[in-house]
Amino acid sequence: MAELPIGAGEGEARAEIVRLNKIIQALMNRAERSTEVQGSDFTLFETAIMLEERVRARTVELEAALAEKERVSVALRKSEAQFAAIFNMTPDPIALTRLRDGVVMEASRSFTKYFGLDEAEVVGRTTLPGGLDIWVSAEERQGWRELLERTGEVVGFQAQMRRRDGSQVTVLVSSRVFEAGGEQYVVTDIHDISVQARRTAYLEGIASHDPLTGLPNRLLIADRLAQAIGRSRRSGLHVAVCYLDLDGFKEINDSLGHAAGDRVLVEVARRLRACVRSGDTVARLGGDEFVVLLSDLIDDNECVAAIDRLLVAVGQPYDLDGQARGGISASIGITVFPTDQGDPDTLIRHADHAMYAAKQAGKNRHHLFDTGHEQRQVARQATLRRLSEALGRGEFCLHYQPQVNCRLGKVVGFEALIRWRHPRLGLLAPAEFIPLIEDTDLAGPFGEWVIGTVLAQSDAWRRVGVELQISVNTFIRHLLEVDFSRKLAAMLNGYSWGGRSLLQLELVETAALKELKTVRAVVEECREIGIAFSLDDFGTGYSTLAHLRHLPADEIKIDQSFVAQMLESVEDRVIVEAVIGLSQAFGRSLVAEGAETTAHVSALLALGCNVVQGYAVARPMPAEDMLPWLQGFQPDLGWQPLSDADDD
Amino acid sequence: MTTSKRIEWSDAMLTGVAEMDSQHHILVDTLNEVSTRMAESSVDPMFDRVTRDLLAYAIYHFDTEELLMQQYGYAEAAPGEAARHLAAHRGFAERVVKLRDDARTGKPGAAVALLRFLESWLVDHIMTIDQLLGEFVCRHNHAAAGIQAPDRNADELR
Ligand SMILES: [Fe+2]
Repeated sequence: MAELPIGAGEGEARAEIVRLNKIIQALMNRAERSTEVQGSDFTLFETAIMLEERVRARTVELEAALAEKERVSVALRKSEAQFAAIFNMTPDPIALTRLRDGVVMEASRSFTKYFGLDEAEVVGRTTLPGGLDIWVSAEERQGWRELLERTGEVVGFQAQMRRRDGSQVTVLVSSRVFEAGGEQYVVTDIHDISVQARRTAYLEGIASHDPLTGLPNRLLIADRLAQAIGRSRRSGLHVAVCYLDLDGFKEINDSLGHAAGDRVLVEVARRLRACVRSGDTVARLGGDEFVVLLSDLIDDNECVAAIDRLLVAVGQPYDLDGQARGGISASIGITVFPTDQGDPDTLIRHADHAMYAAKQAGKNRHHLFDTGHEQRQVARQATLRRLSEALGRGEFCLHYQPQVNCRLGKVVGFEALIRWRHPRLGLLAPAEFIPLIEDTDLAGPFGEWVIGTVLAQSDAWRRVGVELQISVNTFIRHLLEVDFSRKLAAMLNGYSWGGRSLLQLELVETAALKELKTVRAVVEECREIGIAFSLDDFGTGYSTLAHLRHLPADEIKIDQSFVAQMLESVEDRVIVEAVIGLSQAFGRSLVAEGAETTAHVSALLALGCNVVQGYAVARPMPAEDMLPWLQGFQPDLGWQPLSDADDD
Repeated sequence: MTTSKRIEWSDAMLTGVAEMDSQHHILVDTLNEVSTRMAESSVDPMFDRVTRDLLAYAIYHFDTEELLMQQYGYAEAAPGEAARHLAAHRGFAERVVKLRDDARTGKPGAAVALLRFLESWLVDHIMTIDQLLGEFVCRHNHAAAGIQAPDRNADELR
């Protein structure tokens, strides 16, 4: 051990005492913390206490004799010698370094012994790379140093260190910064935990590896995949997750026994490992299922080339008891990050799905997971959930659009139209979300909400003397629920006017025709409790004529798109004429939707269609606007049938 | 008969916002379904399902994007661009509804019109307007998990 320089003057002597005390303090503190963390560092602790007592005694002596420089000097030498003795008694390697350049000022005997170095090789050299090269990882050294500079203290920092003979050890490094004579020093204790570390690694290895093939298991693959995803985010390169299932494995197992099956699995593991690069991972999930992680891929082509190699390798014959057995191949499902943005578990699940598709497509092949397709289902399901929540939260409302007999200038009824007040997307029209609902389980709840709301509104209007028909769009799916008419009757019974409800249910023609018989039965039940029916979007179906007579609808509605274009398109006009003719022939009342201008109204009147719904008459409006609108309603003077002269 | 080539997802479509990017796959998937199946004799069931899914996409995906706009104060930072973006979103569902109407009333060529619409949406929206939003979000949140600036170097390796 290097001797501490002994100052000649009083000031220097004091400084040395201060410095000694600081070393002691540093050792004490570090030993205390070290004990808390490891619970096994009593020796060091006791050493520090002993050291403190001895030095304190010497210090008192020193201070008493400060007047005599020589005595001071001698005493200090004695104290130093004792300090050195104690310093070297500690079992853990201890070193004292200068913070600014890492130069070793002192090192305990245990330090030099532990690292296999001579004192001359240690003291005066820096611990920086290229100097005293005990740190295996520059990153770890940097991490330790940053922590030390930031907090002045590091306790139980785990690191790998290298000894002179090249052996690596796992240690806990504990350090503390102290100041002496205007210079900052670090006292460092190194505690060997190599034995524990090896045992932990071994146990982890058992828990994370498949005992049969020695491959990583499901636990470890998820971890490796998470790391690969992290790298991919930084590098922009892709990671392919390949889920591999053997074809024909069960046959081997059944005919040749489990031992043969196990040999095949071991051989498959070997072949897979031989096919991939060192940075890739092959894992066994169990049974005959493997996962191969290919990372740092530039594009899908690179991935497919690697997969083809795997398929060829697995497909080679297997040597079982001296016999070459063929008939084993692999079905591989692949998904690629970042195209597929799932977390590790999701990615493995997606690759599994794709593997299943490869099996179904005829085995011995790969199938790439279709992210877009999956996302599409996710979007649809999520939107349905959202719709259901929105219903519960009251995000829907009804607007009402008047229907006017333009020949008589009289309002005859309203159509209730659902709107979604979406908190971000604004007011959504029914055509934007009704198609999502109509064939799902949401049809019932939505249908019930609409009818319930309309009945309550109708009640409010009746109280102020407005008794007009209200039409409601009805889901066929809702109508076909077993107790539809019974539930509807119960709702109507809640009102004194329930038997004269003026409620009309609109059915989309094409949908109604699909299950004509059942629909017809429900329609008849409902007509008995006073409900009227209208066939909506009329003219768009194919079997219109043949089936109209079988559906006891009171009214038909000409689809708005034909009406809207009847002025420009001869075809559309012909359809409008035909529907009007049909309504007259079958004795059904008629409403034309989509009349946008006065010219449309005139054309419809000329063709014999009197009841009109559309912007030419009024836009759909919230319920509270309806009474003022009704009060201010004036028939338009332009609502006159076009004369033949204008019509061309 | 028009049978367009399948469109593969490429990094040029990336906005750098993971959530947006994975949802944009829906549009590419739908586009490919329309282009590969429109030659089939009975296109109606496909058309109905595809346009229905596009309506779901509009509600699901635009909600995601418009939530991002709110969270990152897009309208305050770039009012003109934000207004243009929102208007484009509103026009999407309107257009799909119109195409459904046309198909419902037997107008010819609805499938081709749908395909052209989806192609132009990919180019004019996802690869244009959404890129601006993506850059904006990335600039404001490099550190957040799952969000990173698009790595253009990866493109140059191809
Ligand atoms: Fe967008």
